[in-house]
Amino acid sequence: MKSRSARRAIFLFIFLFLFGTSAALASSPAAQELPLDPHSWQATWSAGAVMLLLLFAAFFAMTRYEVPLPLAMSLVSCSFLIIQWESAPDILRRGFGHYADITILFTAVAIPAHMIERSQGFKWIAAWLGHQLGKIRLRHPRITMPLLVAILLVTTYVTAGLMHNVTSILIMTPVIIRLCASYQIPSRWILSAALVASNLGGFSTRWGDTPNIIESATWGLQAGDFMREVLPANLLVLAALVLIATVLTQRGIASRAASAVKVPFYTLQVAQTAADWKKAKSDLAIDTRLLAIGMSLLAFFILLHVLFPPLAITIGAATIVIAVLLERKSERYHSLTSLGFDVYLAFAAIFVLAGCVSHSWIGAVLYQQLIAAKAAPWVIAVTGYFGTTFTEAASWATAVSHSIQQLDPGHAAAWALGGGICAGSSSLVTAASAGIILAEESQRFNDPEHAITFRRYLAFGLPFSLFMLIFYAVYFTIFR
Amino acid sequence: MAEPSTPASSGTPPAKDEVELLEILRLLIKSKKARTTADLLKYATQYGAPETEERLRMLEAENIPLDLAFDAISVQLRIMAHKKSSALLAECRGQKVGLILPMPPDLAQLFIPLAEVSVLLPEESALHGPMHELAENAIKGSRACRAKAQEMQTLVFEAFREGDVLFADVAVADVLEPKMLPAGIRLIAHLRPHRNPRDVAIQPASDVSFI
Repeated sequence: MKSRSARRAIFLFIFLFLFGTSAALASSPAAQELPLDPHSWQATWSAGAVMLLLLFAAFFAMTRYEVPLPLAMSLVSCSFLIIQWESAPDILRRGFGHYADITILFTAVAIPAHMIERSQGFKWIAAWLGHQLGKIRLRHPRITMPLLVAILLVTTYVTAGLMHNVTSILIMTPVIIRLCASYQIPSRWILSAALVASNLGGFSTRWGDTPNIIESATWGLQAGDFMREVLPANLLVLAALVLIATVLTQRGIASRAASAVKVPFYTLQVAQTAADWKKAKSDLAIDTRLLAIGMSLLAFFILLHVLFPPLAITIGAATIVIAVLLERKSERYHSLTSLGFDVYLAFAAIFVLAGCVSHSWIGAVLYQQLIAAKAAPWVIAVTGYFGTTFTEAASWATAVSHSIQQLDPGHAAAWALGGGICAGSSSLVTAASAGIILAEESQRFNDPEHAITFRRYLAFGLPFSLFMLIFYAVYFTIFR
Repeated sequence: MAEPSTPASSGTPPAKDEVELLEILRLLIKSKKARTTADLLKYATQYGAPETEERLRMLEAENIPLDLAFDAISVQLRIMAHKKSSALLAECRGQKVGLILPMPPDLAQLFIPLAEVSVLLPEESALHGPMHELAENAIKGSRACRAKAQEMQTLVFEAFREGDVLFADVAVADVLEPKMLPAGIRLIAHLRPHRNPRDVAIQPASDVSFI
């Protein structure tokens, strides 16, 4: 039954993709940032098909054979550079040019965020929450689950907005699994919804997601613009997300209750779980120094970043220097490299990949599609959705933001692109870095109940991302 | 990423820690699930705490009200737990004790003043807060820790218990490998209420005491 519904979802998705691309095929190639020779092989559909094939192969390898993202993306981007032939040096330089800003800004958020995570502050909050939920469950069993869903998704949203969506999903995945496991609540829909919540949170702030950083630089967007023009839309989507995740989780509980043996001494078990969380909290040693430094630096970066946007890189660099200097001597190098080489490698590969996609038949076709529709927000959102689904969020933003900005310098175009990318990032578990991390983290628990695989996510991600796409396309067309 | 705490799934048989029962009963009283001494007795029976059960049976027979009955067993159980821990610590006095990190800092502090303590850090994963100070002079690395453990008379470690099976972090389990440890070594486990993804079942060489 489950595989049948997954298959239906895949067919629907393929249909929509074919519909989008066939419409795009009707158009002709156009000017790019880096001129594309119409007689070169890169400009032909066969080159585009090879590129898409390579991308799908990479996604398949990551999902089916657990090939690490940096490895897969590096190989794909190198293969794309081979296809680019003589244009490869230019594309490489442009890709790394876009990557440069991200390196500083992402690191400036990631170092304090990792400090907070290492301080065990989040674990303490999770243990406290677990204890409080147990107390609520004893008194009002019916409201525990909706409350848990709302708290977890809103927390994921807020942490993504403040600390970047990748950091948020990294922190929240184990918290969600443990809370759900302890109170016997199915985690599948909450984990799936958490990925969407992290994308929404990331889309709500200037620094919350890599595409936002790119779009902000392209359109000159300020933090206040995100608050005024994007936040209301995202809060509406978040409310819908909480509602749907609650309903699905409730159904999961009901179907589990119908098939499972009744838990003996239910009240005692709930009280014991609550007591266990209290013990877990008391056993935790919070590194208050690390917590204070992490929180202060995060606030420092966000505040100054909002107040002095032109100095964003300088503020980011200062945050990194201060964070490392305030770190324990033995931990300084570890703190500076807390993101890990593989993350930088993955981002570098993604930006090069984006340059190659942009300078190809695929980029030309999608660009022409935008021109044909006079850069209408709904077209930007739809191309953003499919572009992200089949490449990657950051790479798509890099590939098209400059072209779209030239077609429409207004904010609505930026928000439509961001909305399409946000929806696209939520479509497949492989569509954005946060999804890959969710899959990896959830499978570490060696429990199929909590594992978010490509197929398990698809049934939630695809329909909800289509809802998001429609919502954003309509919203940003109305509120231009 | 280090693992946050996770209480065991409520489907698993509970570890019979009678002091833990106090917190459970406190929660049940606060939530009005336990309104009489008879209710406390019922929950103690369900939990499987024979000593508390016996004491509550007597209190119920004497018509002692709920709050007094709870106070009475609370004092009794805490004294019992204190005596048990004190006896265990007294046996470790002057001995070579190996503390295998990670463990709650409060637990480590119990052994440091009275024993010849060696801190073993088989895996240099993230250490937090007060643990940093302990780890400064620690024996680091799996091989070095295994070698040092052979010189110890007592090893203290953190574990999770499910039924009769003990689970420990894979790096800790490596140090506790029965073939490597001297016969008669004392093993003391601090039970955590959660199982981590990296936990593996262990089969200790000797009996394990709990603190």
